Amino acid sequence: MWFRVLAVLLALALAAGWLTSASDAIHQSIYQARLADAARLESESHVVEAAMEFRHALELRSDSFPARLGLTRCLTRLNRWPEAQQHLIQLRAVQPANGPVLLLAARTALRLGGRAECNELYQRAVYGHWPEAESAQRLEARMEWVRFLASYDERQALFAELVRLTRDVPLADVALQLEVASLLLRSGHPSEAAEALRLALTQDRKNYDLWLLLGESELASGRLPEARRAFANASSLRMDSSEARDRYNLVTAALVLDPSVRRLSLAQRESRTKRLLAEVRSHLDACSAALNASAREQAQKAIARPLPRALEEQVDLAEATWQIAQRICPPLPRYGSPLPLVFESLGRMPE
Amino acid sequence: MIRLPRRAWIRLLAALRRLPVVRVNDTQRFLLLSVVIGIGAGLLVVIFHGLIDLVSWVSLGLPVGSRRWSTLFAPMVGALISVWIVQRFWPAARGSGIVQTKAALLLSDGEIPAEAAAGKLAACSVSIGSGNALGPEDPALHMGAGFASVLGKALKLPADQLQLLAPVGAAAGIAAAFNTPITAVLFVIEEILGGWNSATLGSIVLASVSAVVTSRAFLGDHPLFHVPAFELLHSSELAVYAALGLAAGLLASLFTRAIIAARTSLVRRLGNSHRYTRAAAAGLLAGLAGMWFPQVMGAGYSAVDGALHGQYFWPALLAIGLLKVFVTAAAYSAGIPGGMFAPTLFVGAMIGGGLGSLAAQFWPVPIGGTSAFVLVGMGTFFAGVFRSPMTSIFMVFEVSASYKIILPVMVANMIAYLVARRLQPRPFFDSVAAIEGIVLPSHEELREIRPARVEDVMRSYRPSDSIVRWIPGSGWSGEGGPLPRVFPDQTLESALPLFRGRPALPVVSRRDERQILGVLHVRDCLERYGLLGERSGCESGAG
Repeated sequence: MWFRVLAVLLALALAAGWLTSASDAIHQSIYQARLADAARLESESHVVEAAMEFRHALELRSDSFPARLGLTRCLTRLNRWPEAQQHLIQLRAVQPANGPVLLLAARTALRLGGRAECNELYQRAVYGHWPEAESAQRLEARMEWVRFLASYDERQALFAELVRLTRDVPLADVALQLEVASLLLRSGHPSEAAEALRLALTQDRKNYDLWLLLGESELASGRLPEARRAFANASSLRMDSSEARDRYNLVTAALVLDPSVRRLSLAQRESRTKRLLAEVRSHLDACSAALNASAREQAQKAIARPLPRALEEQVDLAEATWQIAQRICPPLPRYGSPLPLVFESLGRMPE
Repeated sequence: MIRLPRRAWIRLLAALRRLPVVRVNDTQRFLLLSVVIGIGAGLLVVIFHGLIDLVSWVSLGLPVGSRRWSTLFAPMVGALISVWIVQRFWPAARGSGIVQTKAALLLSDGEIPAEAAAGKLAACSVSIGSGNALGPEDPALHMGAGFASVLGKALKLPADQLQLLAPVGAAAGIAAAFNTPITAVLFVIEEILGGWNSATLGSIVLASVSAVVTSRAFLGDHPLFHVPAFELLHSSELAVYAALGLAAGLLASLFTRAIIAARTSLVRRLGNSHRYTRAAAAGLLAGLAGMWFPQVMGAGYSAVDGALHGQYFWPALLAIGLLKVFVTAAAYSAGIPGGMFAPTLFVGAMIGGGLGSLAAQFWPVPIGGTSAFVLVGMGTFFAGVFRSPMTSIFMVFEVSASYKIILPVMVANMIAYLVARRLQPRPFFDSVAAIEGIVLPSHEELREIRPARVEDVMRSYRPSDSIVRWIPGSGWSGEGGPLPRVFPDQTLESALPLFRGRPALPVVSRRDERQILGVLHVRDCLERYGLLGERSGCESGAG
């Protein structure tokens, strides 16, 4: 009798195996078709329809990682963040170090208000595993992360990542190089920005934006001659650009006043110093009219101080007068007058 | 094929003959049989799943709802075919399967005909696969019990063992269908057996595990639902779960009443006539609902998975849940073969998800994800309809694999259970059986009946020395050995066989057997059971 029982079980197993394989084959073929449709619709930006197809694919194979990932991508594009978050929990349980998944998780956390979690997720996404086909997106993820860091003023982490990015961004990708340099400049690292831009210019010397940003970076670093050269190049590339021309004129005016420029004769230095002092005194005199009595008296005293004989003392007097002007006058816009640039340059000079 | 020389074959056979013969006792044989039942039931359920899939693909397309006109008419055609199969070939295969299994266990020593299992397989594959809003678990339970019964009869097992096999097969069937062995064991204990039975517990567990292993070997190791993690963010969230329990309890009693009322009126008014018309109408209703909400068709587990992932907003969840109530009630009361297990979970999930999503918008403090409410909703509605509170708690626990859910699920389930019990005293399947003309004992009532104990009937006085000296431990013994003694907490049922013609027995303390607490008179016992008109003279008789 036990043999008969075994025979029945065997027959049942055969029937079950045949039915399961037939059912699997049907499911698999429909699943593949749905997944392909979903991917096509997603690439054509029909996100709602793509999400529907991904859902259908998931109904057929609930353990499908690509279908769930695709659905989650669509949900984030449709701003359905809470639902996306539920799928992401599952995706992360299956592949905890998957870069694209962690990137979506970071975006979702940002939308749902988890800033600290978001930073961590971005970092893990950037240094997570990226499939070969999607490695270009890793760079996009890094850019997204640095934009996030810049928007929340996370300076230290931002600088560290930007420095790494200057090495990793392909030289051919000028737009990305430009963005990295711009972020470096905005986060207070003009020298590094200028270095990155010089590197990018080796690839595209006729890029107006690169020259303009290089000029700004050099200007922020206090290297006025290099800034003037960069602005000149930018102006020559786009003659109608007032931005580059204005900057060029400003820097030129500063360089004309600056007595610290190298290779000047003593007479030239003395003449520049006197001119600089005259400019500062004129600025102080102009602003003192609107000041109160004590401030005006202070200004007049500074203006009336006699001119010393020695060149260094003349420079010191110009600087002292500038400091008084800064203290009592309304501040000049940084790039509105050459004076701030000249005194910044003088301040950087070794004693 | 391994090629061996002839001499090697002879040696191999001789060696095999020399192997010691393993002799197994009855208990071991029964356990082995449980494993075989588990494997067989698991295979049957795999075939059942495969057939449902194929029917679904042929009639509705995959995924469900992708062909509009098929969606409208397929449930009707499926309902007609399945009812025809039951009417024409296998009348024993009607209903969901739970009532039939219980009836077989209690009324015919667990004997279920092979036709019932075969009919269930054929009819339910068609009815569920074509999109009627019923589930595969109850038929799987019936098929498992049927397989066990057929196997027991084939092996010529005695009637008492055959009776024990049915719940073993039932557990295997439901374990394989729902992919949850613990839930299956508890469901069979609560719903089919009505209590713990040490004789079958080990076998039920073994059969459940082997059925799940078998079905996973064929269908894959993925869970029925992919449950996202969740947190109980604030203790006040428990109030929302309590409200969910209340709502689910109310709805469960309404759901039960609606089905019973529909079925009763149909049976009373139409009797056995118009079966096909009823089935066609219910199928058409399912098709109409499926045109706009394909989620309500079939078991609907993919929709529950969607709800767990926050796919639907609360108006959609509540609408789908309520629509499923109507469609399922129509299908079940029209006599379309199929189970109530899955629809109950579906409705609970949607109601739970809807209330959770609503609470997430309006509750003053942030609450955890709606997935927890979907899961708890499943459990609460199940507890309210099936009156199996332990099964419902462990089912949610097993499905979610999360300990964090246990507190909300206990709160909500108990409230739903108590509310549903208060509003609808008779459990669902007992009421359904009554409509069919079968009076099944209510397991729920049996659980709560306190059996009469010795202390309820005994008389508290010291008996005479003539009795005392016959008590074990008193140092006396004589003809016929020591007098049997009973304890105050012992049931009267267990005390009665000890009288053996004696008029009374001493009641002793469990702490000290020499301490006599009173006397138990046979007349008092008979009076307790109403077998004596009034107290007789032995009241004074004593000892």
